[in-house]
Amino acid sequence: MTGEARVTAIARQLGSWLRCREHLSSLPGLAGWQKFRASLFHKYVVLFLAVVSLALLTSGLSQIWFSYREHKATLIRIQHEQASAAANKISQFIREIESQIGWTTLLPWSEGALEQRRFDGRRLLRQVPAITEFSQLNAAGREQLHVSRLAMDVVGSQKDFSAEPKFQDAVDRKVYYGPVYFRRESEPYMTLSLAGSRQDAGVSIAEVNLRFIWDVISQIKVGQHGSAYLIDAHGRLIAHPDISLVLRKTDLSHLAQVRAARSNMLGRPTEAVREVTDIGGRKVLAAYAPVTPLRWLVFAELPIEEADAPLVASMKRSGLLLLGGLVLALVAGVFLARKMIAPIRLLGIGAARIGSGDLVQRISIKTGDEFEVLGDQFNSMAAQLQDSYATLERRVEERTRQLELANLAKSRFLAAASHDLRQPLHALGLFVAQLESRLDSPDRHQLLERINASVAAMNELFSALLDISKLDAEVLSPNLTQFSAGELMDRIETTFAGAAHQKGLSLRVVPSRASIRSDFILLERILLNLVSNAVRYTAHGGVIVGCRPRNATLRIEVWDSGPGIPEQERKNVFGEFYRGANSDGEGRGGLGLGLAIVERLCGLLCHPIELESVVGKGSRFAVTVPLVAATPALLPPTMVPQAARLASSSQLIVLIDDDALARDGMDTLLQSWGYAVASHAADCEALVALAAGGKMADLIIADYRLADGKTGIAAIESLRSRRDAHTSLSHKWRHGSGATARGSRARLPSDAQAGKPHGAASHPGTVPEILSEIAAVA
Amino acid sequence: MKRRQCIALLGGGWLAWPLAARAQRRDHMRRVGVLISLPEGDLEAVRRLNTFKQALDELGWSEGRNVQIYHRGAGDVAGMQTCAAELVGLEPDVILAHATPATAAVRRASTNIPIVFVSVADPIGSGFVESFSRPGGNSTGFTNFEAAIGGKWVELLKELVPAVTRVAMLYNPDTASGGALGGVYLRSAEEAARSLRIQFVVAAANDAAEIDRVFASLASEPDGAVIVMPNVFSAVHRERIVALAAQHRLPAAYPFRYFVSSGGLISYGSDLLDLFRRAASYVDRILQGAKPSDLPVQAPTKFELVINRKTAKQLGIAVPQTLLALADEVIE
Repeated sequence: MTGEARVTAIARQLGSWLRCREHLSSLPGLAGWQKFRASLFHKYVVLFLAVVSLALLTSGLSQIWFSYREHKATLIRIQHEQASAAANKISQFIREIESQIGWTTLLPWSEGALEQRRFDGRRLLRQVPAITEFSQLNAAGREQLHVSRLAMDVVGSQKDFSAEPKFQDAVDRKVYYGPVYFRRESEPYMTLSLAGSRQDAGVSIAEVNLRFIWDVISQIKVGQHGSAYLIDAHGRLIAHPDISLVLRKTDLSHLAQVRAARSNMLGRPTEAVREVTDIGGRKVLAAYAPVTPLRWLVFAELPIEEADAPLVASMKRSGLLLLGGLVLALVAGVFLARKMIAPIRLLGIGAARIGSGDLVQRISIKTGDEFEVLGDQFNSMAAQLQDSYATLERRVEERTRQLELANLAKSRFLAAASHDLRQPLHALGLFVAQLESRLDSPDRHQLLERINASVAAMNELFSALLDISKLDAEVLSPNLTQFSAGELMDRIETTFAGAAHQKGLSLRVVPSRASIRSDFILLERILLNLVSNAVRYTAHGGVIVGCRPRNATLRIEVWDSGPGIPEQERKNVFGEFYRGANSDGEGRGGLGLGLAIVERLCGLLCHPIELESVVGKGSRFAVTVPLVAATPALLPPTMVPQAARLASSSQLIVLIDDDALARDGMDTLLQSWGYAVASHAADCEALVALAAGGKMADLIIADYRLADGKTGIAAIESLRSRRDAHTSLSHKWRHGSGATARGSRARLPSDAQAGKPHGAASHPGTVPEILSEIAAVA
Repeated sequence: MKRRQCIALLGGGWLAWPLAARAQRRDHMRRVGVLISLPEGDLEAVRRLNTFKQALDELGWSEGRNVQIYHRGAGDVAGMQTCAAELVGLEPDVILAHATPATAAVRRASTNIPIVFVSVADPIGSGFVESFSRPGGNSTGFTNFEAAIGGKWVELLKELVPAVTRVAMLYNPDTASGGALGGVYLRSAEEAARSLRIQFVVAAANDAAEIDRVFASLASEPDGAVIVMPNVFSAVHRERIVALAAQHRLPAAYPFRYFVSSGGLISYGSDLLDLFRRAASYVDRILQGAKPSDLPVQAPTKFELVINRKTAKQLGIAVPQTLLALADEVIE
């Protein structure tokens, strides 16, 4: 890839990238960031709340569940214990009575001891308030004694109770517990008989008033509202805190707990504690325990509401705590989420800023954690971006500068090379001239003519190349002046009259008095090229050059009757190295740079150029230049081709040129023209020679480019300074080939101001020019 | 801010719960009427009333705070009627009536006010209740004796004074249970006396003068003894009876201990104060809404034997050791 292409590519990339930056900064930026803040914040709060509430809920619920179960188990245990305790107490009560009765069965029954027995009986009644009646049967089952609390005692009634279970069972099993019966249908009684340890002790029978058990039962506290009660083997209530229930002979065998307990007693076990309904229909927790010697059951019941009350209370409490915890969690969650979001927000804003192109800003996060690290990373990234932009810009600048330098060097090289190349050519021209002036035979003349023509052609080619490169290097700057168009016309005519005549073409240049504003030399060049083309490419007919004023402009037109330029070629003709078909048919016609130079010059001068052509008929080129009011314009010195005339030999021309070949050539030519020439390589030489010779130079001709970097002007100056002001002395400077070309007087500002420009710069190549110049001066 | 409102709501709700959950018991004044078959100033009446009040207080009904107790008493039937009318006029929630005539008087005065009777010998016979287990009607309460106790008294006297040959039963036909037929205890006493080969005399007295005559006639012959029947009349005239017994040097058996503590010789019977105590539980139940018809009639379970040794000494009676041993209380 060439340097230019590389630069272009880089510039393109940079451009696209810059566009990208612009696009990013056009986004909402901060606003877009704000939009997302709310949802993350909410997410955090909700998440926090969910986590905390989940934890609280699970812990609370599991706590409640477990405490419920424990509570239930405890209650059950307590109730069971209470029931057992009650059963124990009742058992004890019964056993107490038994043991008291037992005292009376110690002695065998004998006649004489009746009074004593009666006393014992009465004493028993006194000891055991529960016994209402006491009777004693002898071994045969006959009543010997009947002591009553309520009625008169009966002694020795001999009533026969031998068939009764209270006698028989007592004899068989030593103790008999009779079924519960009710006196006067309201008082629960039980018959308790005890047989003596000895066979002939007989049986003691006691009627036990079970209302005394009621005291035991009613003292049992089961919770706040619970109760204990006693039922007999048939399910009838024996004792209950509500005595009236007992006295009404309430039958409870229908209750589920009673059924279960009784089936348990019969050996078919079921649950110990059940949730059942009690007598009143309330839901209760029931536990039971058997009263062992008898088949009675003590039930301890607790209402379920009371059992569950602490649980409900604890649930309410847990619920309140949960709510409180949730509220706290919400508050804490909001607070924490805010704190957490803050650095993220900062990062986001910072990133948006960096993205929008602001690389100077730095994010400041000081949380001491990963966020701070991230913020620092962002900052370093922004710094790096900044650096790389700067580097890139710098590199691009450098590259461009390098390329410029390269281009400049190339052009300079070309200029220098051309100059060097022109030297031999110039010499050649001189030699030819020399040769010409000594030639006699016609062949050589013809040969010389040809050589001359070649040289001319090569000169022209090199001029064209030089011009093109000068134009490309943009080292030409137009020097706009006002001058007469007619003068230009004259020069054109003069230049091409001979060539046209040679080809048999008619050349007609229409004079004009219009005053135009343009660069004389460049415009002349344009016209020269155009007319030269016209002459070259026209076989027969003629060329007309004319001016046509139009508004504020003057159209200078070059008509020719050549073959014309086809439609599709019209653009290409202005291209470099384009050659049309030559009328000469020889394939020559220069490098094809003529019109290219014309186009560039027109562009430089801002003179529009037009082309019209009809194939087979001819073409017309037109250049439009701005008109100005006709003022007596400073006419550039007319360069009238004058016939070479011989100068007086008294005039001395000092020639300074470092190029030996050119110097020799010029020397010889000038001498042939009759001038006295002193040629030197450098000005110091010339000075020495002149001083030695004691002569004064009439004319100094110095090449601009001299050795040691001296300029011709400096050489002339140095020579002048040594001499007195000679009125006839004037200096001219000549432009060498290369960097300084025609019309670049501005290029030699300091030099130009020193001295009077007496002659227009000219190419050293053309002899007539040199001659005319010299003639003009001398 | 929304958050603050939430917190305020929760905080307020929390505070409001305990306030809302409190339920207040409304006490409003209940009325209890007490009719005792003794003159209002009688010490014994006062004692019984106090026992009743104390028991009621223990059950949660304190006088002045949630219950108002009106006490009336009279020793005679007419007076009892007036008192009953007065009490009924006060519109009590329940009336406690002591002894059969008072209960009868209250029942005559009102048919719907719940009555708790105490120390009624024969509630079924007197028409107060239908049965012991289900009284029906508006009355329920506590009996004091069974009919067979009469025999017990005879027995006791015989044991105490083996020389006794004649026993007279003192009673008032107006106030005694069983009316003119002599009351419920007569039969058992009579039978007991027969079995012990003691002459049995039924001695009716309508007023104090007649009591004198009964005692005088009994004392005219040797080896006599008196059984005082439990009724209002004997309760009212107890002092006189005791004095007369001492004067005429007659051994007497009484139904209640307050006779013996006043100078009587021996008594065997239920604890009257205890009955009043237990009556309080029934009054409490009725005040809480129970119906008298659901509360069964209760019989006494405790009987106490009380002997006054001083009186015995005065009468020249040697109390047998066995009896002394069996006595629940011996007054020296």
